[in-house]
Amino acid sequence: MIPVLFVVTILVFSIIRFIPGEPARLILGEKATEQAVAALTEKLGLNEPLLTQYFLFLKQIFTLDFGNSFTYQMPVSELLASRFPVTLALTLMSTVISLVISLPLGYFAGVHKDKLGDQVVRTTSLVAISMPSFWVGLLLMIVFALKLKWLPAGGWADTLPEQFRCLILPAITQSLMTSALLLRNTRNSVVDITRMDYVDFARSKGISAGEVRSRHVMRNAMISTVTLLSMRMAAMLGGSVIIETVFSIPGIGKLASEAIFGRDYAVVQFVVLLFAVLVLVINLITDILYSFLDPRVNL
Amino acid sequence: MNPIARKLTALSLAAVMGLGLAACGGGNDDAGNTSTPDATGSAPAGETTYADQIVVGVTQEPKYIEPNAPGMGPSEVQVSQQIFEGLVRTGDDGTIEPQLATDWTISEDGLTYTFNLVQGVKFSNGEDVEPSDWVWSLYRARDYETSNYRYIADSIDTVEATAEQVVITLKEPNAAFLAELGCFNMVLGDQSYAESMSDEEYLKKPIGTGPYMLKDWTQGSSLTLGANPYYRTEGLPKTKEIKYVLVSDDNTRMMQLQSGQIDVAPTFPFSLAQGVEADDSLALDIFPSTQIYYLTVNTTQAPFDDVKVRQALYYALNKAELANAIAGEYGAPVAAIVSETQGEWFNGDLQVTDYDPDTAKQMLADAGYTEPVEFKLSIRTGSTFYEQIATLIKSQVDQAGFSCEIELLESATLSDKYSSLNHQATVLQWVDDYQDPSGVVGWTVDYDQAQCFYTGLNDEELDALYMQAQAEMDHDKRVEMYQEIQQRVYDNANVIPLYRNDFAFARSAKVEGLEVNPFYVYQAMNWTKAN
Repeated sequence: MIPVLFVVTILVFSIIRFIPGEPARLILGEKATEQAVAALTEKLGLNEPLLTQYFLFLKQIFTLDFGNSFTYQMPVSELLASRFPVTLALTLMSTVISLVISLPLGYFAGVHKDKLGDQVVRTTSLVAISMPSFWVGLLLMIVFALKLKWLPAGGWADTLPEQFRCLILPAITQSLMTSALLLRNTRNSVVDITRMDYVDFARSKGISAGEVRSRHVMRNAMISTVTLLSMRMAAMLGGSVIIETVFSIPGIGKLASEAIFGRDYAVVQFVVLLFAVLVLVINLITDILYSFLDPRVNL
Repeated sequence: MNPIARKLTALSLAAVMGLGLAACGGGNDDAGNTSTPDATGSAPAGETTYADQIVVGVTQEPKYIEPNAPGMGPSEVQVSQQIFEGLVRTGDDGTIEPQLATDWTISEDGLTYTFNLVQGVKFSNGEDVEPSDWVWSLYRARDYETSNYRYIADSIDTVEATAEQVVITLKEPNAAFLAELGCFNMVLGDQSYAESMSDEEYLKKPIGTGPYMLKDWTQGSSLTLGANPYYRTEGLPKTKEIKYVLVSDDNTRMMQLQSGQIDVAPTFPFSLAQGVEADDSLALDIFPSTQIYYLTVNTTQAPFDDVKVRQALYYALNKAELANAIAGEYGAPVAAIVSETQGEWFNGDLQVTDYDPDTAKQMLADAGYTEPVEFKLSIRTGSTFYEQIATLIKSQVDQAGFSCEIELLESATLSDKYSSLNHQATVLQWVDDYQDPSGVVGWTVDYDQAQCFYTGLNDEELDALYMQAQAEMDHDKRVEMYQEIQQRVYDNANVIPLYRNDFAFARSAKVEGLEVNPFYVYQAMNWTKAN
């Protein structure tokens, strides 16, 4: 884990600096005067040699003092602290919705292979995969915010219950693609597993249908589903920018994209590092879950 | 440890790692809660005909509020203007009005300005305004290192103040000085308050004497202004709170307006204007602006190092089509760099040339170009607005002896490219900050400000004429000089004005009192929203 993170620090530090664009000029805007650009560059410490800046970055990691955002002029740790929980909550809600939709429907389609129900589920999931999320988001807003007036048309609130309401439509929008992918994967796994000899054997032993379903079919189907889910969770965390923009949610995806376009090196570095750590943690949890699902896997 | 226990322990550890990361962000769930007590008692209790809060949906949130902060732009100015006041302000019709000064005199040599002050003014924390605050504030406007707008206060030599008067002495006569004093950065701040905290902190939560004060700010989400309880005019502000919420996507902003989540949407895109006009619960306000879009070309590289090629562009561009396609009825093609809304400063003799591809081709042929003149038009990516402009320009000039290639660049890369003069052509815009043409003219002809609007054309004679016009105290002569400058910029054809558009504000029909001046400044204290 440590060597991976070390390589990540080198990559993120160098990539953001090698692309064109002066942070000071971007902060100062279109009417930036040369005097102000020079003064701000010095103030931000960007006239220091690159190696010095890199060692400062490493020092910040070890001391957990992430420095200040160039754009917001506030501690990066505070920015991450306010934005990360929003994206995490959005991702977790999307994941729960995806699982609730995809597992039962995937199983249903798998055991009714090629029948009408299977065809309907498969076609619907294909449509869900094909629809761009910003468009789905706008459609949901028209229906649930403008017509039915049940939920807000995007935006963020001050209190926890209101924030929960604000996350419902974005979470449904974000879960659509994941649900469809998980559903198709579960369905295919169920189709394959129900043909296995051990399933026939279990049935012939007189084990109840429910037990065969949960212990032999779904448990085995979950192995590939968990792998896919971990990849989708990482993708949802990193790719939340579109959902956050359409729904005006102050999450980390939007922060990351603003920081990249604004060349806010301090924020980009630590957001990428945070994502790297998160992906490593998700992978670790996935590996551990394997050991529960598959007795042959030992930790 | 048995295998199950080992697995559970491992899972718990991994979960703790994940939760640990989440916990880094804990403790902020109620960051948006407003903890500051209600700031005002100005609205009598029981007066319930109007709402206490108006919500403004903005596409960009401010980075700072203090007007000398780096990167002040429209998002920052619209908030800052509600908190701060200066000696004078630019009125909604563009004229200079007294604000914290009752009246003023100018010495005969044009060097000394004496302002008589409004008495009994307090900052929003209840502190009295001290004469030293004026001195500190105006020097800060002139000297704050990372401010883009230092040049506006640059002519100030000394500032002296008493409780009754502020006396400003200039280094040399500056005819635009009174107009410059109406700019958003020439305002009064509280020195002792500013010095009680770090500068970074002050840039984000300053106080002023204006009708509002900062009540709450959750960056990335919303900013709320509360009424200043010490504001000197009774009955103002009319609405206790103005809340700015960040809604980056314009379609979402439209829906929030329709659903009543927001009440006002500034700088509303013209493409969505029809939807507002068709909805009875909404209204669209149009205000004349000084916003102009320009095609700027790099004169240090071929082909635009040849003035004849640049001049051929006048006939190769169909500005009327551009204005109509982008801004519809709210746009107009323009020929002069100064906006018509600047009144007499605008050179109305300059006429927009009709689209005439044959004349453009002939001009290029006369200049010795037998093959289409190739150039790259660099435009920022991700903006359908700029892509639309670029596509129209390409379709027009390609029929008129040019061969245009559109280059889409991410905005930071684009600004790096044009500011280092590595581009050939790009489209940029300008909004004046005060009622005087010196802003846009300086940006276009003074090489030191921005390499002449990033065109690299250092016309020293023109620059000298601009300096002369700045110092000329005879109004008529000065107008004449600026008219001549516009003509000469037109002849140089390095900065080609394309079209001017109005500011569009969409609002709920319940909101009244919106007025925006041509410099994108409004006074939210006059806004009301009927319940």
